[in-house]
Amino acid sequence: MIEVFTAKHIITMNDAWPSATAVAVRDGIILEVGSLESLAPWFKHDEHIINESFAEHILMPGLIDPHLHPMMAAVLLPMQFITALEWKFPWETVPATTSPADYRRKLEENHAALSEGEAFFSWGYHRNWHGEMGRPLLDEIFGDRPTVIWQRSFHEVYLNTAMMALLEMEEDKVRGKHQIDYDNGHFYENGLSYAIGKLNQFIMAPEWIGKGLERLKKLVQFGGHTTVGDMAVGLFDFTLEWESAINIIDQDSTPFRVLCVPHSARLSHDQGGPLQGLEFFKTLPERSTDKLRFTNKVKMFTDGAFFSQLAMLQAPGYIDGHLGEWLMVPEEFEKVARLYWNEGAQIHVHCTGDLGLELALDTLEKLQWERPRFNHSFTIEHFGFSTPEQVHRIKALGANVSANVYYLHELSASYSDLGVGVERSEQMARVGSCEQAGILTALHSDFPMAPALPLHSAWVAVTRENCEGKIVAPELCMSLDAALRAITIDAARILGLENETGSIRSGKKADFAVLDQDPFEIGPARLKEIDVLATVFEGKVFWNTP
Amino acid sequence: MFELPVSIIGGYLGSGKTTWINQRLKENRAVRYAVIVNDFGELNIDAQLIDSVDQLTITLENGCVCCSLAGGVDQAVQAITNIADAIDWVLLEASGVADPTRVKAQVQSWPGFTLHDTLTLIDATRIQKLTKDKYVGKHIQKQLMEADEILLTKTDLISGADRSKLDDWLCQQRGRPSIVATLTKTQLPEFSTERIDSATFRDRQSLESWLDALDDTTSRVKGLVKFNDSPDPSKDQWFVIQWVDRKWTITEHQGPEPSKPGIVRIMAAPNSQSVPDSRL
Repeated sequence: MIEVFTAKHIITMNDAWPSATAVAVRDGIILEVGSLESLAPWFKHDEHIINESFAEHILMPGLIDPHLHPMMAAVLLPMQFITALEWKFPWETVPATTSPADYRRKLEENHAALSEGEAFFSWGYHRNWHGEMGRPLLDEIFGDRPTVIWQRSFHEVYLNTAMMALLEMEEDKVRGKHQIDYDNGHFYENGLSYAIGKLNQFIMAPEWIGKGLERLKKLVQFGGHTTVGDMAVGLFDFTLEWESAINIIDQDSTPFRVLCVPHSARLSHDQGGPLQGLEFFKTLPERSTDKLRFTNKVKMFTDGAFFSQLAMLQAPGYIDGHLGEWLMVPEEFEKVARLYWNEGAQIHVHCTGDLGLELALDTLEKLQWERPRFNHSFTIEHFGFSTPEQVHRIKALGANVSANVYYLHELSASYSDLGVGVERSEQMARVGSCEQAGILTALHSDFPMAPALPLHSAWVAVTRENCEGKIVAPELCMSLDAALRAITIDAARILGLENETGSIRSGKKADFAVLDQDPFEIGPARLKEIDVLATVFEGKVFWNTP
Repeated sequence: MFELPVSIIGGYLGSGKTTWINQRLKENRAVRYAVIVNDFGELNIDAQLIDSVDQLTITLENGCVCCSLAGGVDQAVQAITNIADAIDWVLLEASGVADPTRVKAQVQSWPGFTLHDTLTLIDATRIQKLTKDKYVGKHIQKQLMEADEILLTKTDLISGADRSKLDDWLCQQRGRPSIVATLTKTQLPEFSTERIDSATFRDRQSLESWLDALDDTTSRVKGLVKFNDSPDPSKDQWFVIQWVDRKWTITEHQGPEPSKPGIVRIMAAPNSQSVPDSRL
């Protein structure tokens, strides 16, 4: 049986056959895309039905986020979001809460709605909007209910007395420790590590993770995705993550597939060394299922977190003179990269600063010299700070870029003042230069670091509008076409799934995103207003209902 | 509240950190170290020395414990907290590219622990070049500058003339002479330990005076004693003695009768301050 989907406009993202109004699907595969008339030859040989549910809508290929972290998301998503900016989720739109009074009211409402004794976890508190926070205030509102307030940056938590007692925190040990304010129940930066160690019994519990992954499934669908990349499998615990993924993601109800890219350093740790890690890596594709796929991709890391200002920078570094952080000793990075390169693996490297990027490129250049490879898919992940010269080098070495453009949206203003100055800050995520240089470029969210909304990412890439409404380095804007490719076909190429998905053409999986408006009609500035109404995954329709 | 002292052991790849730590573990002296390392693999612990192994810790027969950072720093710290009574000293092996400011801040946030000192091992053959390295130069320089003590290694691989130039350079960099010891392939620094009988101190007052008088030549004192002047001799109470960084505590011992009562004193320099006769 053939099912034909009609639409107001089908944007195929196949340059050779760009527009259509109908697509014929059988057994989850696209037979042909064109018009009802042009599809006629198929109807002579098989029965068909016409599904007009999308007749007034726009079809694009199912969107692709090549880099997010399901497990981190699973830890975060069960918490109650109370945030200064609006967050759109399929289960609720979290409105912006922008005053201390409103914030307090939200806490009180949540307290009233919970059953006796149930613990409360919230994420999103920020002093600039929500006023002072601390144990006395939490005790006043929540009384005996164990309560955790997680700060927006992930780097701070506040606990009330009931939670501190539940976690058996001993005052004489904890009081006075660096970056722990015992009286205020405040644990931040290094002090947070102690609190997380205690909180793990909640946030790493199987039920919690299960609930988080269920929410993640809805959220991924809501963004219009039909494919995502888990760009660090094993980040917390390989076995636990794989079991959770099998139980929750690898189900008929899941409307997307996950390309699983293991974390090389975790493999080394777990298996007792880089060589043993590599041997284990080679066995991973055998365990692939339809929805969870290991290929020959591996994840490595050069420098520290962008959000924590731990990216490694070339001169002149940070304004305040602090150093960034190497996540691997550079010599070891090169050794491990060589092991995987010589096995023919495709290496994806987390690089946030321009010195981190320099290490990745120097290493790639050495490896190319020692053992040249074509189509090696060495991919720069995140791409925070870079120089124009490095862009040409990425091109010359045949590498790809998967960029987090949300950095420039959220951080370009504050990093101008408190990080690296205006010139370098406003040029973060220079994706426009990548497009001009002809580098294969995708956009990602790194969720939960940024919202998993590809059309929103594309909007940032084409407008370069930051959170204060300023357009930063407009010379580096991507074209609309390139930005849409970066969340569809080019993202598929980054993940090595381009023969299967990423565009709407005969022979590919029937993966679609159903939009309420046409991105080419409404133009770059309004891209973020587009709603995803439904997705089609391998021919099956999944409506986005709250 | 007694806090376990922590020494941060820094230094770049090949500087001899692992060798140095291995040596500490094998000494089989009165000091029971808990060592936090990145990876067990590199330690290469002799199987004969191992008492028990679980996922994140290896316990040696001499009472030392190794903890892996594989499960995250909070798990390693928790593992040591759980056995804190059986540990005298913690050695934290910093990554070869650690920023010492950040590692110190980390240790200072651990409940139940106190930062004692930072020791940086330096490869005499490589250090000057490393401080100019494109990727790690700034970190290496900071490790050099912020260490309390410098341990120079592989000194047997450089000439006398180079050694004296290196000493001058180090002195100039740090603004003071600061090499505490050198470590060649055959020569390792020694800590001396002294065991004092539990009956040494007749009363609490004499012990307290002795503890008060200890200076920086002592690194650590730990022990279990009974006092003759106990308010209720029938209770037969044992006391736990802890001394580090000129701070000490005397607390009632909980649990069963100690199998090895007495006081152990660990010194950086050999017997410079023995127990005065008058108190015996």
